[in-house]
Amino acid sequence: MRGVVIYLLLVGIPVAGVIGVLEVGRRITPPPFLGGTWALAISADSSCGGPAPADSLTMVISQSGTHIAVNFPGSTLPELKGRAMGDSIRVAGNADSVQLNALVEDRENRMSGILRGVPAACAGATMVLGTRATPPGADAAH
Amino acid sequence: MPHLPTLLLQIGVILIVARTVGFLFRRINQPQVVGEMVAGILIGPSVLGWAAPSLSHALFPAASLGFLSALSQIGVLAFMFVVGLELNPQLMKGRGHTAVVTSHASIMFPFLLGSILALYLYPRLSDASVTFTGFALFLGIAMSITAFPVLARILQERHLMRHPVGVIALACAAVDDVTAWCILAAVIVIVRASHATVPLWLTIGGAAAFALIMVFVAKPLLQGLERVYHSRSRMTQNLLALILLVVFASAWVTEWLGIHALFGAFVAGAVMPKESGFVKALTERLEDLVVVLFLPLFFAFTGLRTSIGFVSGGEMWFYCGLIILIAIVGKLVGSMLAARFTGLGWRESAAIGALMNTRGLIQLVVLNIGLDIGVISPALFAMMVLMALVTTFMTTPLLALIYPRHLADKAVPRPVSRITGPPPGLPEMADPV
Repeated sequence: MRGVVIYLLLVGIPVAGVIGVLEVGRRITPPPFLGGTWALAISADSSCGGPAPADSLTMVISQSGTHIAVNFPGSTLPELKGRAMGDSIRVAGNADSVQLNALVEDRENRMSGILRGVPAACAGATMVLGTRATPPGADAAH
Repeated sequence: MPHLPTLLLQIGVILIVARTVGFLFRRINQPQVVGEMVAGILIGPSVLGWAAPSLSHALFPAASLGFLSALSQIGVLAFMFVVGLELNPQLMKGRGHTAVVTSHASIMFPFLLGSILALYLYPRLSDASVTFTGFALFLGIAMSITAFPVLARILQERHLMRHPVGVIALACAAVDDVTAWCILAAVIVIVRASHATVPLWLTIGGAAAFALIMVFVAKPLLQGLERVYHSRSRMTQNLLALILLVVFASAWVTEWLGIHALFGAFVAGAVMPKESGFVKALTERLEDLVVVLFLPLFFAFTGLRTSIGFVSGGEMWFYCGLIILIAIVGKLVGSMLAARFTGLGWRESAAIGALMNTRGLIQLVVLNIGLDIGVISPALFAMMVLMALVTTFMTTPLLALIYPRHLADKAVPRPVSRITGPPPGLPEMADPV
């Protein structure tokens, strides 16, 4: 009898606690899912007047919750790091040389925003439109 | 096709670094396996990739990692089979109550703390592609793991195998292994449910049918292997091939069912005959190659996936510290209190808590599964790899502090040679796992 009481105390209470936590946690809203590969279309009419590095870029986002790192494979652009806050993302390279501010829309499959510092030394902004290249869940490891 | 020169070079580098760092760790009274885990981190992006990026890219180009992954997966399958093989119901004899209560409490207490931590970490380190339920359950189980093989090795090195503390810790770890893997299987099914290729009813029904078949059909049939072994007086190549076939078939079934191949390998080991001569012969055949070659490849592959660079800034290191703290409090304190409740003294209970806190490479196996199914992010993966390292590293010094060698020697005389070996039910552990 004592053994049953000890078991219920040491195991039953934590099990009940886990069930309670799962119930409470369902109400938490996580950051939008951004991880994976994106195709980034760059607007031709950059306010700098200079040529954009390309009409489009491939952008790979590594996401750990609100913390994101953005890479542009095949491009000279540096790695950008920053945060996702609600539906907006704000990332920048070292010393803010390049910045990307974007708004995520269409159930996390599209984003639109502005890219600063491209081309290099451009103080103006370039409009960009991002489309998810890999569907959510395609690359499980984000 | 793999680029053979690259693959051979990678294996060579991995073996050299693993053996060297493992040796150095043994010099500081740590199990070699801890050194090999650290070696994996050293050759990954966290150290080599940071210090010499061009060398790192030349040695481990991204395109080549698939082959390294495949080799390490085969190695981990074999390792999990050995872990299952070394589980023996005899360990429970006369200690069932203490072992079950302590083990289940030592799982559920850190599980609860892990799921509470998930409330804080989910909006910070996860995203909408993962449900809270999946995230919390995975974090809970990742906090609850005990590394049975590393624990056994530490007990052997400290001559505690026949000591009541060691015997109970081994029994607890054995129950812990079985329970934790069952819970993990359920967690994987829940996480994969939304994008599984196999319907959920088939996964659950198939897993139940698989377990029943393995226990009530395969296990009695496999007793025949033991008779063949004794009639030949040795582990023949044909017998070994048949056993490997059982392992891979079992792994294939659980992978197909959407759980994970590792469960099949573990279950195949668990239902194998437990006669000590048979287990020892089979373990000797497999363990050397697994321990010397395949496990370092697995550690290296894990290290290559671990980027401590993701853990940057005070905020991320705070999360990391919190994970480590909660993992230690949950497992160590949970096990200690449970052991105390079942009637052990405070010192013995604390020693059991310290031992159960060893997570070792089993934790790395679990974390790799979590990363593969996308339930944890790369940053969380890196933090939890650090947690596994810290909790495994601290076991030996903490145990020496709580239960000094002179107390262990006073309770049970030190064996004069390795021939005296471990207690009944546990085969001699091969070096170094």
